[in-house]
Amino acid sequence: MNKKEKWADEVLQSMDGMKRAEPADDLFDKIMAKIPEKEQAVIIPIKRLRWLVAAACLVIGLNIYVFSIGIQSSQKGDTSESQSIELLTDFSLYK
Amino acid sequence: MYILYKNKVYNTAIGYLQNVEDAEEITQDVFLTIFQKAGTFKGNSKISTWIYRITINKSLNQIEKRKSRPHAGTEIQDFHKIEFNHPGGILENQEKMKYLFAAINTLAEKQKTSFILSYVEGLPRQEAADIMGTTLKSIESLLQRAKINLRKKLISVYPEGITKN
Repeated sequence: MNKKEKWADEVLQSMDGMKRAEPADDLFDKIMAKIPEKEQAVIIPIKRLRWLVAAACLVIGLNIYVFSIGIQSSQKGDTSESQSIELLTDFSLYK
Repeated sequence: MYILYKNKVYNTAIGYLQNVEDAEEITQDVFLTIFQKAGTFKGNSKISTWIYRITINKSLNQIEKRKSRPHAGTEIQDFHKIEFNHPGGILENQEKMKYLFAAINTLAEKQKTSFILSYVEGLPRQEAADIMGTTLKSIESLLQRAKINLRKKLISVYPEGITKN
């Protein structure tokens, strides 16, 4: 192997131990600056956020109220049903 | 996402463009494209594969733009003009790496891409194959040819009177 070939092989091996190149720290800011403002994160004004929270609370409250009424009425239904069964058995018509 | 991929994008771009400013420009461009086209990503490949493809396409386009600019000088003159120091290289190898990167510039497109992905970016052969949309066997063959061509090129531009360090 002549000196040129030897040198070429050394050059080919010169990348051994090479690390990844890293961009400058301010590159992210440069990218963000290029994104049009309207496409960046949507900012909801606090005033509108309050209305949204109030509406959500109202919906949740109504759901709880309707659910509790449902439970109460089903419990009532159970007791009247059991009472009527008792009445029926008390008469003992076919015994 | 930026934190995860910034070095991969930048290092790949710098491998192609061999210029810090151009690599930064391509990195910005890649992340803007990711931001704008994220909705079109169908998930048929890994996200990293998609990002590497965007980076490679943009880098190759930038090289094409450069080629279209008029310049005077022979290939050999151009070769010795390149003064690129890869920021991740070991200090004692910097001089040799200048020659290596100049030689990488002369490779055919596919050989260059396979070499950059495998040796500059350090990706496994299979991942490089996925990015290039080819087979493992094809990547190995491309790398083999790339190494042979690089060696030939380097021998042809051997700087006479070099002192061994």
